[in-house]
Amino acid sequence: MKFGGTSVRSPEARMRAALRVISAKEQGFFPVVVVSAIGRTGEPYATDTLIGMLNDIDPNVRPDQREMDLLMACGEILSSVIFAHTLKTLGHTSMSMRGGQAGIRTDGVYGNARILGVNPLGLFEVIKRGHIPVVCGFQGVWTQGGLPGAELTTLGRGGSDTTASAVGAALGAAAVEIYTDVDGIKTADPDFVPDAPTLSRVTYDEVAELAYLGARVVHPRAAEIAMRYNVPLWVKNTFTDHPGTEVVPRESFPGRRVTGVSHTGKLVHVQFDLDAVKVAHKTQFQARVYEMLAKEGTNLHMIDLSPGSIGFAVPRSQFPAMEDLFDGLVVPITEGGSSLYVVQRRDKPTRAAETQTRLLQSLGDPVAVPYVVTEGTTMVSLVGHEYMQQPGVFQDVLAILHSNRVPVTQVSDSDFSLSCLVPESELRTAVVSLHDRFVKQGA
Amino acid sequence: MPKPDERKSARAPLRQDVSDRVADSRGAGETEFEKPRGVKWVEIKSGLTRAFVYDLPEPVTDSRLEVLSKVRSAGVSIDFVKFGQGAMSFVAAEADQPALEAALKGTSAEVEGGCCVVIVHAVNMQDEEGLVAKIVSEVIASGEGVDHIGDMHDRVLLVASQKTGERLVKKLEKTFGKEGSE
Repeated sequence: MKFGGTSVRSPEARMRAALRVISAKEQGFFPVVVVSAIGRTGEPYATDTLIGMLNDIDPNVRPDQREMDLLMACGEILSSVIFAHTLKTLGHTSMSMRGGQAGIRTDGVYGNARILGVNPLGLFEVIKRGHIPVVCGFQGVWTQGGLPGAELTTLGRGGSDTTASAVGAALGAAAVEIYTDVDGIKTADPDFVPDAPTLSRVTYDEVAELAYLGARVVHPRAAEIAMRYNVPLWVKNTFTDHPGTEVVPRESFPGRRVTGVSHTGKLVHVQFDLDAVKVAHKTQFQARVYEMLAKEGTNLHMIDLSPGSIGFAVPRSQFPAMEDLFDGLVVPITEGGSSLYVVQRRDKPTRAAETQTRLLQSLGDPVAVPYVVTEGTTMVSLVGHEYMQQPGVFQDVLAILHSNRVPVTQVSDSDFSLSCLVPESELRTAVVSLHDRFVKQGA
Repeated sequence: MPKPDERKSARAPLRQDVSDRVADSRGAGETEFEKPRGVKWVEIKSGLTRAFVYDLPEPVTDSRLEVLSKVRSAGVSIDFVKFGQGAMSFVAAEADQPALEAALKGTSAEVEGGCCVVIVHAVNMQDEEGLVAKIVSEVIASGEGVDHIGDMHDRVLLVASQKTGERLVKKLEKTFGKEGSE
């Protein structure tokens, strides 16, 4: 049973969560609890608040990821101790356990570690002694670091969900229950569609695609582990008796359906105009651009590749770093005739780009490669199961958005989804209109 | 594997005698949980047709909707739709090529069979920052012309001609390693 930040944020919330654990025990089960840090962004013990304590010392000095991991893990440690004590006050002995004590072994990538294995021996011992284990989510240990003792690592986004799935799989649990503050997985963001229904069942693939396209549901890594080890996964509300959403394998829930409408956060669309790049250099130029994006760790959406241009959307949060990387960047290409290309933003070439161009003139005639930036965009997606293969789905989606005056800059699709790049200002209209048409009226 | 209904009703975490489980776990090694990072494997799916529709009159959105309406009326399912300036392109099953050609008659369009989609599998791609860009850079660096790139949570999809696709699979397997299908 995993409890997220909102389920442990206050004494009242923790009491509700603890009573759920006790209820499971009284029904004859051996519950194992996984907890997130207390509260959400901005709250005193939330992970972001802890990170802020380091960043606030000097925003110009980036903290080491190893140190960040140690600090961030404190949030879950605090939460697990408080939760275990809450259970004790209710008459049930409990023991808080760090990720390493629960047997979670990871690789050595601080801040985004992958679970390599879970040895559940410690957990079984604790259960055998009659305690309810309360495991810190989001963390594990790396034992190959060459440093004395095991190195603490954190699991990155969705880490506590991943902990719950991994522990559940290692224990051979009959179910993993993820508790949150909504009734289960919704067909749309309730902030936009307050009456969005809760899905009673959904497949692992649908969950993974929803999450990939921005929905705040179970993390795909958790779904992947549960799928692999055939552990039934549930998403439930700590605060209501709604039965929740069951996540099942694809073969258990066949059929054509619309799962829901999801949306990403803020995106920036970037389009490089390659008209000025020699034909013989285009491939090399494109490869360099993507190679740099890969090195920078930029996440891309809506990739559009054509001989005359390169287009993609990047998360708004990653755009400043991307622009720092490209603005004034000199790309020398020597194969097929030598040329120097200087990348610059079309609407406002910066001093850096102009200076680079001037300095390079002694070496030849630098060629400006402009890129166009469209800020304030976002991606809205229709997610479905065996639905996108139907004739006319594209037309329906575009027609609905067009009739609601939502301009669509670009589209992309996959087996499970159809996504449209739209202005951020039109996001609510886009979500509501697609939800009305495909979910409320029925697909 | 238990049936879904059985599993649903069998909500019994750790019902088994704990002592037995402790004894069991002492003998058992760790189990690998998360799949390795990066590209897992590459595969090719053949039998596709590409359509490129150009010189779409203004307003382009209306023109695109008109094209999609014709395709729908022909009962053709399409994928990998992409917008260009005054143009659009998409992919359909090769078996639908005659219906597609008939639907697009009178439109400035090129329909070409013998295409494929190369699928690069990489679990939880978005968590591996820069992985999609790395795959794309390797595709471009391979020198093989790709018509379209799509993505979903666990794969990058590349549309190309059949021959290009076959070469691309070999090159990507060489770059990322070949683990075979699952």
